[in-house]
Amino acid sequence: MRLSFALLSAVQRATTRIALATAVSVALPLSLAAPAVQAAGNVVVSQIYGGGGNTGATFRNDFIELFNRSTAAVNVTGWSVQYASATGTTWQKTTLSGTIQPGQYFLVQQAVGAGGTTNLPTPDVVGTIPMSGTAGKVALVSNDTALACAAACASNAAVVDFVGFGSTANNFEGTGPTPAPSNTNAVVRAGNGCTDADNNAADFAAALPTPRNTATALNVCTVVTNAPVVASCPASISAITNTASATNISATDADNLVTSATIISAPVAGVSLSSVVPASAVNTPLQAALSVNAATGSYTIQVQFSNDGAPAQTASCTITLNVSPPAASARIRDIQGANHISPLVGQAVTNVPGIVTGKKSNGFYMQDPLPDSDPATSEGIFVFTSTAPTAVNVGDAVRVSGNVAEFRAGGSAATNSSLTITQISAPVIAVDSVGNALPEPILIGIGGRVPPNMVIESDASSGNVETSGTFKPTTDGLDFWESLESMRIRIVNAVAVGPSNDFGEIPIIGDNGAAATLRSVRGGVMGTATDGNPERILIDDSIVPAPTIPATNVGDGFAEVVGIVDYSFNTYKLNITQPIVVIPGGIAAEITQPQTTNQLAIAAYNVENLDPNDPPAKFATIATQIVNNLKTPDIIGMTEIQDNNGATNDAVVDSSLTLQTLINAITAAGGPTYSFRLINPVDDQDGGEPGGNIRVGFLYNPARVTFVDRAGGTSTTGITAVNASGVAQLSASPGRIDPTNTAFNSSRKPLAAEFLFNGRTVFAIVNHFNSKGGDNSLMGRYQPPVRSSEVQRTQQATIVANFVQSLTTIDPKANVVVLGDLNDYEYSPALVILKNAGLTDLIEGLPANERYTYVFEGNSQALDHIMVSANLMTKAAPIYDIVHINAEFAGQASDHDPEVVRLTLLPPGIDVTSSVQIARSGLVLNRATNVFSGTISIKNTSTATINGPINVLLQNLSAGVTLTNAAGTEGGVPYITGTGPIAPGATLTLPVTFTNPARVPLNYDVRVVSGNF
Amino acid sequence: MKTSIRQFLVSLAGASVLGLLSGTAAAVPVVYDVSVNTSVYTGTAGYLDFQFNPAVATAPQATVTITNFSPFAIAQGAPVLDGGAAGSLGSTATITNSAAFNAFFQDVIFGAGFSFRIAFDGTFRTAPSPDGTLFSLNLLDSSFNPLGLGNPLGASLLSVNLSEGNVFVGTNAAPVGNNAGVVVRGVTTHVPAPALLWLLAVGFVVLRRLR
Repeated sequence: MRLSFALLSAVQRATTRIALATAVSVALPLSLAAPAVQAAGNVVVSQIYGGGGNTGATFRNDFIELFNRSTAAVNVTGWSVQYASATGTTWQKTTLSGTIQPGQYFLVQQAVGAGGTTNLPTPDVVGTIPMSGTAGKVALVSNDTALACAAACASNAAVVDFVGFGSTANNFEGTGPTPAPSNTNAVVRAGNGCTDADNNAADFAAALPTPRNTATALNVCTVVTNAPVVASCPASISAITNTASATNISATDADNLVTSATIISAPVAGVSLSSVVPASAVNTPLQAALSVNAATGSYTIQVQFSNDGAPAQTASCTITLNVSPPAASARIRDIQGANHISPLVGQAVTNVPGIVTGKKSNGFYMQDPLPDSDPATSEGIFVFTSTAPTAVNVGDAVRVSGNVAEFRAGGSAATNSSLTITQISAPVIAVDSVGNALPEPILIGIGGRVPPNMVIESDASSGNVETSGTFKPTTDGLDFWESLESMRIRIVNAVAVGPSNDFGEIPIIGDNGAAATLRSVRGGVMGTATDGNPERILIDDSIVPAPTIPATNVGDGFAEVVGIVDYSFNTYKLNITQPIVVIPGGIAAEITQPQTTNQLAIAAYNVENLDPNDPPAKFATIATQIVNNLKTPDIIGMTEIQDNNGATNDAVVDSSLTLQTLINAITAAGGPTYSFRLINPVDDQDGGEPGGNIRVGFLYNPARVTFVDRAGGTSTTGITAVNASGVAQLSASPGRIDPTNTAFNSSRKPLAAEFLFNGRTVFAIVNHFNSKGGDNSLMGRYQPPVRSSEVQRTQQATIVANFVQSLTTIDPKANVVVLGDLNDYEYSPALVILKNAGLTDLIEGLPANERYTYVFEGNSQALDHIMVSANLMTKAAPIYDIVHINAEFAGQASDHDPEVVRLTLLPPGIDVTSSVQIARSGLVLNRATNVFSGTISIKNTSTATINGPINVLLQNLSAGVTLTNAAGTEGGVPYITGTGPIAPGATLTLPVTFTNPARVPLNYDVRVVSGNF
Repeated sequence: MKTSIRQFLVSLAGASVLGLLSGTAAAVPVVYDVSVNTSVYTGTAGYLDFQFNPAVATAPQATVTITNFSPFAIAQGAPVLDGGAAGSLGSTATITNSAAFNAFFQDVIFGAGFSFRIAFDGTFRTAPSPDGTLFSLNLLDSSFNPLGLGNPLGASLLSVNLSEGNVFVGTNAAPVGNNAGVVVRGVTTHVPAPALLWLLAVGFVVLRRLR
């Protein structure tokens, strides 16, 4: 306790009410008796007597006695004492002059009355105010101006002291006026004037008047310790973040009024004092409330109280304010659980804490800044606000109350295979603090959490990962990403395995693809029957404000990608939260080799809903691709050709304008003038974009190949294979295959056509099988996915396969090409059916990492195929090329890459048997190999050169004998081949080897063909 | 297998062996004396594989007679005979081209060498045909792999193709040290054609020089 000097029982008034003279700096001993030092003091009214001159009075005059109860002299010159009646509002004054020494009285004489017998002692100032003997009001004023404060002058700033006396006085200090005086009694301040508790009722008593003046012996008030302001505050306060609360604090002073309270510590937003009620009397408390509505944190609050002393005394208290969120009913990890479906789904949760990590148009992500050690349970969650969240910002620490829900995009139908996003819906959000650091993103890949690279889901024995009861994030791709749902992650050295698209998506894998099982030859990743590449994730731009998604091609890279794991449109996404910069991978559009004179080049190209409403640039691009990249194939099997007004849904089915526009563009690009053949579909019967009437058709270069027109083909007339004396023909060309079969409902009908090239007939069948729409998603809840669309496709494949076999049954050497967008993979049931019909899928001749014409969500895969019959496979030396010009590029004319095959089809050979002499040598048996060997010599007996190749057929070879060095068979007859040519008179000798295990008599006939079969 | 005249001549010049060609169509057997130097295989067990197979079953009939086989002592047991084969190396062996596979197969212990006489006869000489019959001799080891005296595997040591009424002789034996692997010498039973005379002369020169 700090000691100070003050007048005994005195209360020092507010400094504004004190006009002290120079302080006296005389030290007093710490004693209650003789003070050695007088402190600065004040002047009070010490006695009032209004009964002077009244009946029964001793003194003839009224008087007002002043007293300097302070430790310093007070010059009262210019001051005044003023009087008003008990209820009056008009003040009379008496001007003062002189100085009152400490402990000195000062007598102001007032009006004289008729009664009384004794004069007052010598007054120090004489006035003439007639005062009431029983009630009235007296003020000591520090100026000489009559008060104008009516009946509210006790607290007037100029009033040094105020006394209401008598019971009817309507203004006083403290709780009431003094006791009533009378004609014989004055009211006298206790303690001989030293007592001043600012309470007239207590400070005064009625007593015989004893007027004292400056000559009266000094009455220096005894010095005592100045009672301190005593603050009363709790040492600590706990409050809930951003929730209003108030805690009472107070302070008292035994000898002064505590009049103010102030927070003197550093300001804290949301912390203030309120309801401050100053003390109304000495030793009564100032009461206040510490109001808190602050952010989470621990704060030190210091409150200082002051009294009305002069100088004012202060006291302060220190409060530790702990503001913290209320207890959460569950953490995010409790909500997410180690499963695809929240264990708390449908339940209410309260005060779930998190840091806002990203905002979307209908909610925001938050992540627990205090994760546990279980990687199976996500620490992030989406808060669904329905509309754009404006109350929160990234970095805010929030508490969310609401209902746990699982949102399944696309609806809750059982046929919807989409996985869900766990979210808190109908949220009540409290922002505890702002500007917090975001939780560190989890590194995905080398050095962090490594995603499974082949297995999407291994344990969905029930067929549904959401109900399997098993969750294996370290081995199963779906579980891996689910365990990171709505969390911040980081992927370094990311490589794009698909191009950026119009939806702002880019499929990527991390670590430069180190974990990928099979990269494509150009930097993508191959989707196969056993590898769905769960290490993929799609960059997305769903965060608000939307980040810029740069144009990206397959093989391009990103040094680092940071974002939040999401699931939408049936696959996992990475909603990036910071910009990404492309490192170009440098892939270029491929260019195939041009065909030679004797090579027939056939291409398949899905031109993605081409119609005349497309911008001219699309036509120009496709035309340039056909000319420069495909090297003007002789035949192009087109798919997704739309009618002349595209998606306008009317009765138009004709597409001649579409095709002619393309043909003109090809010519303009420097290509040949193609012709086209197709059959219009029945309106709205072939599926695809509504109104577009997509269909398949042929472009062909009439300068290189002849279209064999055979009348009879219509939209609904199916064609057949016709046996024309052992030669296969189409009943109509072009013609549709079984177009009314239900297998082709809402799907494109295959179109067959007959071409002539180098004198050889080639049948081409262009297809666009039904799409994969309706299949379970690769990354969906049903595992393994059910591919319901396969049913229709296998039906379609069966019909086409049967048609192909009807051709090859008539002519086993028929040259048949089946091509187009078959909408399925080389290992799919539909393709197997076609292969079983004797067709070879040329894509299977490519290395495994080159078998793709399409990139779906980053999986490179084959949807387009060119298949050839056995004769073409063995005789035409097919050279197959997928020309990668679209599917891997952000700028693409179509979502499919075209493909082309070059078939070497020489003019048919000539039988020259009659122009040669054949000599067959005897044979010798190699006993180690049991093979007979000998020679056949062919001598040109004509006068003309016999051109090669020289094919020598061994007809009617004895049963049981095999020509083991046959180059092949022609019509079931084995043959050997020599290069030739044979000049006139020259002989070509070719080796022959046989096996003849039964040693049967050996016989055969020889036929010689110049040229190919 | 080298069966053409040109190939035979090349073989003759390059391998210092003697070969003969008879282009006559006279109805007189064509006879050759053959000696084979097997000194590099002395003491080795193996087989002599004489085959005489037609190109096709309709090839003209032909017979080869093997006589004067010496030393017969190398023969070990009875021969295995296939198709039109008969007889014994100890006296006379014959093979006709009557079947798809005609062979005289004799197991032997090779010595320094052996010799024999072969005589071809039959209708092939009187009814010429482009479909030939091939006489061949191969030395085999115990696993039936040819002992080519250093020549490419699969080529007969000695082959004689009867075609168009002619007899085409070829060998595929490399020299054995300073000696020829195989020596074929025509035996005149009729007036040879000038070309044959020239070849015989060469052969004699070689034989004489070797001696």
